[in-house]
Amino acid sequence: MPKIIIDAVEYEVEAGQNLIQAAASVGITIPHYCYHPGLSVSGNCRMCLVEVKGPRGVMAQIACSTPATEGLEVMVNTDTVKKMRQGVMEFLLLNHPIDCPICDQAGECGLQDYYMDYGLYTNRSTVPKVKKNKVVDVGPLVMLDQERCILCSRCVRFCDEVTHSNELVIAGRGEKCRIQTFPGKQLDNPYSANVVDICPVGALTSKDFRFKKRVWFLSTAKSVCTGCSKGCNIYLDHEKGQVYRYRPRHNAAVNDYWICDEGRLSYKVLNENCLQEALIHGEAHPYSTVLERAQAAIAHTLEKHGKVAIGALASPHASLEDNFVLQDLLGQVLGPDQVWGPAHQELGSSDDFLRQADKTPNRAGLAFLGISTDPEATQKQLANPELKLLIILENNCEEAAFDQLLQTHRPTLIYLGSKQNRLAQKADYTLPITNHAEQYGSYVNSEQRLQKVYRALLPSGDAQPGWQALLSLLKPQLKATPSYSDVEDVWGQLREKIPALKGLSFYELPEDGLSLLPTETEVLVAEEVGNV
Amino acid sequence: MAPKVKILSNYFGIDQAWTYDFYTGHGGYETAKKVLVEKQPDEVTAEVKASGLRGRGGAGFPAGMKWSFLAKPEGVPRYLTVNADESEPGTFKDRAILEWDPHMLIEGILIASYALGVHQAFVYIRGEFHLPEVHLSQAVEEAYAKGVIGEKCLGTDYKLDIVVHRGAGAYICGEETALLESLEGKRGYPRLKPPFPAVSGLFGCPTIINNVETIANVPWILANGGAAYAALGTEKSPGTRLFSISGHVNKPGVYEEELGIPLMTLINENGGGVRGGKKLKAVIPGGSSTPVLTPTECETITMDYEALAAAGTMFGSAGIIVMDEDTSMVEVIVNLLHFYAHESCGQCSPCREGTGWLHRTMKQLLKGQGTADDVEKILDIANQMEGRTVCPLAAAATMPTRSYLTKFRSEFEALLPKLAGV
Repeated sequence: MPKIIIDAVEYEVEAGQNLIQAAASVGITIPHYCYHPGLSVSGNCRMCLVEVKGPRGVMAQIACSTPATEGLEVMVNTDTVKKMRQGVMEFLLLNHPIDCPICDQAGECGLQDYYMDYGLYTNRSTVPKVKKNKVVDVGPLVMLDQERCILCSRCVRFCDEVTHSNELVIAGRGEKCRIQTFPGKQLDNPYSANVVDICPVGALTSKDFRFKKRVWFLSTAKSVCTGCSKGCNIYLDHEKGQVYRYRPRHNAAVNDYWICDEGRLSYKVLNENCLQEALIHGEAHPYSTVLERAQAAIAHTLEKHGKVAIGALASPHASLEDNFVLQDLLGQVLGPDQVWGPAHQELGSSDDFLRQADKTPNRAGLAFLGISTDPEATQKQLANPELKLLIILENNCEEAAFDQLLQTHRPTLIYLGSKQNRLAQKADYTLPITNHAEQYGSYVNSEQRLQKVYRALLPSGDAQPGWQALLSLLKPQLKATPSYSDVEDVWGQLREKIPALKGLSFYELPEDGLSLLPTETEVLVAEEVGNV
Repeated sequence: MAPKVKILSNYFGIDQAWTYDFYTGHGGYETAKKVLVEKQPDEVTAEVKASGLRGRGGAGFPAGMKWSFLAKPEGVPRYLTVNADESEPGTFKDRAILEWDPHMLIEGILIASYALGVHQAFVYIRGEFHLPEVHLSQAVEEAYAKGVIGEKCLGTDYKLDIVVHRGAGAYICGEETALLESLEGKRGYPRLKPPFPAVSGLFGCPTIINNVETIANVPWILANGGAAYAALGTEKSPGTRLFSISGHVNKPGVYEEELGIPLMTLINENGGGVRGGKKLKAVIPGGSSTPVLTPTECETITMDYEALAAAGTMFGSAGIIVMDEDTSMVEVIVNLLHFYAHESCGQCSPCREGTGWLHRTMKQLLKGQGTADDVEKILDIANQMEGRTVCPLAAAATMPTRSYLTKFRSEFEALLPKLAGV
């Protein structure tokens, strides 16, 4: 590991980093605009200029293209460096409209942030500003203001290097430079809105988010996108029970710095049609009433038709905890064979980058719990006329299989869901449960990575976490009632019953998830054992 | 006085001098033939090194040394790129070579390529150079047809292709790495260095980039020996150079002289003196990017790298612009700043915004709408730009700005609004 000297202090840093990364790793921030760890180094903003001691004396050099190699000696806080940053800030703001009061980026703007530290606080310009285009409709999700742009080229590099779709260019020369699309072309790719996140200023704003909310009102929770089985890591920004946007959260093992547009906009379902009340045949009733009658229905079916007459559907939309509790408790009541996987696939568009065809976030979690994810097997179970009562956990299912089921032998349906959907309306008893923004929980993505979400919102209405609702529902049938009061208690059971999770707890799960695939060593050991 | 040696300009101005027949009729390609048959590539480089030939594009880096830096990894092609994107205001000497003696350049490319182990050379020619491009392309075609270049250069087993590529009109593409980007079909942005082109240049392969005039010197050096070339000029600035003289002189044009010639000799004898018998006011010695010289400085200065550096300016491209006593220095710098603001590629913030800011502030000052602190402010902006960018274009704009402001400050201050009561 190379040793470098920053402001006369020696640090040991990891090899192969540039100076910005190396300094950041020891807690020193070198201001920058054009540098982005997920993109190539272009070195154009000149904000990261620092002084580097070299054979020819002290030279001004940009940190982003300076490798942190053994013996590197830099000064990042001298008067000269501050003056250089001040100079760059002055140039960047020279033709900038300074329209913060009406700019959506205000509050999370690189220009504002660094101006606090390196602003000149006086305007020396006596000449008119350069005029460029505003409110340029560059794509279905993105709006461009060329005057606010500092031409850092992050967005151009994103389209060149990440999506390889090359929609954006810098046209013109000198101060007439501007970002634009090729004539007649739009910034329309499945990842287009990432340019809004990486834009350090207010030049590229999200059409979906602009003018909706000042960012300083927003609270942020670490979460995972539930739009598909990729499980991209996100920040979930919300205020007063409403979710305003998803932003990608860096996870090198999953989504790097990006998320797809489809996933980004999937936050909308959290604000729409939330099931808040318990229902009987679609009519709202007090929670306790519905719960009691659903319990009675279960008791009645058990008594009259026996265990085989009851089944339950686990859900690839629900968390690992919910599914585990469903499997665990129903296993105690009915035996292990009565919990089935989803009766259908939910497929959509996919590519070789992030978007997965399977649009459910936790199908791999069901498999991990040992619940079959073969839809045909489940359909066979549902077609059995002996089935008298069906408990369905969180299901977005709207399609034919259920219609058929309802028309033929019509078992009693107890539905635990978070959405006001058709199933909630048609079920005999419906109990509201929380969605992934309203609870702590974990999901297993298509790459067998267990990732956790934090609760961002308070549950709406009477909704309870799925595991809690299940516990209440099945309580009368259980010999020994487990005392779950929070997700950590559920994990107490999880780590006891699932060997792969031995020794783990929810709060100790790493922020960037945990791979459930065997490590290289484990594979080698397994092979060795196999050979012996 | 020893007879004047002409290396490059022997056939300038002669009809049909650009043809193969004329060139071979005057001993053309004899040197290349000899070199390809008799010399080892390293010997060629050694000869160029011995000549002390310095790059004629502007920076004056020793050509032989540059060649020796070329990385030679196995299995990777190497390229020679000739920079014919001559766009520095006041400079038009490469144009003369391309127009009158393109075969001399081709012979130079052939020898240089042989020395470097290059099998594909590119000439990046300024898009506005129509006639030079026609002559050069004709010459390349002739050279292919006559077997000078191609699969078997001059009957040997050495293979060389030459591609002539026209630029699309950008000053910045004369910067060597922007030139490479442009040649690769990309936007002409200078690259971050390192890596240097000699290691990773065109299409990521080791590349040598030389100016037209530099390469055109190579046949003479190989014919007459490096020592003969080094004997010309001064110790540190050997050889001859093509001086482009323009501005307020009686006979503007391209003149070949040994380095170390006094500037006033060039102006008075080659250039025929200041036009209309006027007094000299200022001289730009090496293209518009170099700091200006006052008449007093011009009196004694000689045209070589050392003397010009000692005077705080640069030899640059040897484009001499002469200005007489009637010239407004403010108008000159406004004109130059307009050029640099227009030609800044826009990549780096200080240059993109700074060149435009300087230009507009200076223009305002010229109109008499300046403010009292404009001169100081302009100097400060210039300081904030220089040395803070990827390429030297910002410096090319700020160096002259600073020199005009300091050497002719009173002219600028005279345009500032008078303070009331003073």
